Amino acid sequence: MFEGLQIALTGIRANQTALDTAANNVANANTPGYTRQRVDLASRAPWQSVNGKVGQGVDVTAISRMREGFLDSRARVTGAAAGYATARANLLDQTESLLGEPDAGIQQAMLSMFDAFDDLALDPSNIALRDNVVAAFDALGGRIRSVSSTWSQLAGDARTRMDSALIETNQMLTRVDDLNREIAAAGSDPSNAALDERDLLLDRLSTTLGVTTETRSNGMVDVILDGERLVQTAVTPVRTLSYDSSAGVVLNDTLAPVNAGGEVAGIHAFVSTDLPAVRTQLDQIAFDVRDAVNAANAGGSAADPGGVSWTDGGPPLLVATSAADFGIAPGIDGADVATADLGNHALHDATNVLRFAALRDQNPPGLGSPPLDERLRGMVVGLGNTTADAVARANTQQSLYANATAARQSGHGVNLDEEMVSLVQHQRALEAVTRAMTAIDEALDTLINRTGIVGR
Amino acid sequence: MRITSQAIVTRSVERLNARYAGLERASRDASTGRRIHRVSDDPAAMNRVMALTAAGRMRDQEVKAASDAVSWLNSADTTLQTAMSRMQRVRQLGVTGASTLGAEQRLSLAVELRSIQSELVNLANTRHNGRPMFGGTSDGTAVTGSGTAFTYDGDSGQVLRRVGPDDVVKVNVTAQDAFFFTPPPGFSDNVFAVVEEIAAAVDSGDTARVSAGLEAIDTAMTQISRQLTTIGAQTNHVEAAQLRTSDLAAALSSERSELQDVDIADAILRLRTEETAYETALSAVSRSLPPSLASFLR
Repeated sequence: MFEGLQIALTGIRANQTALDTAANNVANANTPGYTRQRVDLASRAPWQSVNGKVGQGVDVTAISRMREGFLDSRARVTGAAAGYATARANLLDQTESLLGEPDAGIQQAMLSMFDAFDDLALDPSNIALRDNVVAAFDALGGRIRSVSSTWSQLAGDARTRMDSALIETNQMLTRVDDLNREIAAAGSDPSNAALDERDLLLDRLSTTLGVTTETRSNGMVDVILDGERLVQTAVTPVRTLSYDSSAGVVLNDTLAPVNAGGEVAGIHAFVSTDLPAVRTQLDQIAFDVRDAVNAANAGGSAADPGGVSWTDGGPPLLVATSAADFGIAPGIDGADVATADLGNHALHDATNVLRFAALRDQNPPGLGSPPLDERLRGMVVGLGNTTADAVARANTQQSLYANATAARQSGHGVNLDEEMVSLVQHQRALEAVTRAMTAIDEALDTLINRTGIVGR
Repeated sequence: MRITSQAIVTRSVERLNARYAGLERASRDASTGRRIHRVSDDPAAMNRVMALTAAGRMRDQEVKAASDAVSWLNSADTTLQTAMSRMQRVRQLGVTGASTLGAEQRLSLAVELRSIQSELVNLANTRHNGRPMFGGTSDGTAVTGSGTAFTYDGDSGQVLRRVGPDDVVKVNVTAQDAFFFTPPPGFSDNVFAVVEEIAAAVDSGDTARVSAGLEAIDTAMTQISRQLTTIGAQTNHVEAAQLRTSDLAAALSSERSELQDVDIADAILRLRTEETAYETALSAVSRSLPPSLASFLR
């Protein structure tokens, strides 16, 4: 008879645990990385009574996390791809914005330069129009230099982002290592909170760095990047990473480069490949304009403002060692613009101005096809294509990641309705078990206090 | 599929964001009137737009150059027409002078002829926009000299105007072309000297020489008239080119607009649609978010 009280007690305990767990689930419904928990119940081995086997009550065998490993790895793989594509697309998008085409870009400045040539062709002796040509050169130079310097700034910002991402990554790796130890020390019954925190860190590591993981039998997780174990079971300290602009992401202990993934790789791809490619093209455009204009000027004769003294073969008007310092040569003004044909000292001769004007739609002499404007367009549209492609990929990867995240969320997230049902269910069970205990108690009361008092 | 409250929130927010972005895009298109705003929106179309912009700017310059060309040609035409009418007067005076006249009458004819000569020299040295109209590309006086000794001091430089794609026209006439010619025997090779020679012949009563001089006048008038014909033809050419180039510029800008601009009716409709979609999404989210079993259990 006393057994019954014990059985009821196990029921009370089990259902209280279940109520607590449900309450904890509800409380953590919006906690990032939280995995819903479930109380695993098992009935106790029965006791052999004279009347047969009687159940011994219920045991809480475990409070388990409802998490599917394969959903995690799918979410992490797509997370790394989305991190890469999004970081690269954002940076390319900014690169394109800084270029300012088509309304506020280099093309407008270049077309204004051509317009200045055409205006001068109508009145080649006019010193104001010659000065205007030099001013147009200066404006084009300023525009190209400004694009170049804002791109440098963007590259610098990307580097800073990279460095801070790696600092954060290194901290996360250390934390994963700490949690590994905590989990291994707990043996077969690790804390669910620690497991959740580690999973959340691994998610973020995947997105920023594209790591893979390997779970060991003792519950520890190795974090692997490009075949290198950054966090390794029973090895301390963890290996950290830093960024080297020429080699990329390097391991701090060997300085060997590793192929990272995720956001870090997206930033690296931009800094080391995408931006240098378009910068080279911008440099080339500066060189082409410089060479075409200087060649045209050298092919004519320039008059002083009064038209008295002449220079055969105009001086170089533009200088550039890269797009960053492209501009008019020092000391150049309108009087240095060669308007007349070489050796023809006629003040109103526009032969050479027409050579300048021809740069608008003809191949620059000596530089081959295509014309300057088309070269510029080639760069602008090339960057536009790269950006459009990167943005489209980022969108695709984002939606794949969203799907994977949703699938995982549907496995381990908290559904409030379920928890309400669970709360009600266990509350009722608790009430029933308590009633059972009362019933047994009353029976015992009858047995103890009311038996053997017949006729008293 | 098991739906969790976090999933509902995340997805609702995602959907609202997507709708909001769509609304923003539609409103940007409608308010700017543009379909593509940056190169990556549609690289192929933007490539074409930029090419059309460049071509359009070039056509604008050609239209400008054509106006300038017309002004050059008109000035030359007016000046040469004046010269032509003066030459007709010279011829009249020559015809009068070829008959026997009194000394006083001869003198007055000679005075008028000499005044016409200096008028002609001034016409030959007319300046257009501050530069010698008949002096080629040089800046100096086109025709210098006095009496019967005149020289052309300009050069043979051409003033060229690009008035259309691959259409470059010469808009100047030099004094060499207009006023210098191969004379009949005994006369100088230019209008100014010939007028003086006739004036001298009239003055001295040499009627035979005056008659012979009439032939030189005719040669000179033919010379000027040929230039006037050329100028007229060039003017027609330039005006036609100007019209054609303006048409081309209009075609370019309409093609650019087709690539780049939105159809307003379509843009407004899309804006309305996006607005409705956003409102619908908002109301859907507001209904799906709050309820849970907790509201119904007591």
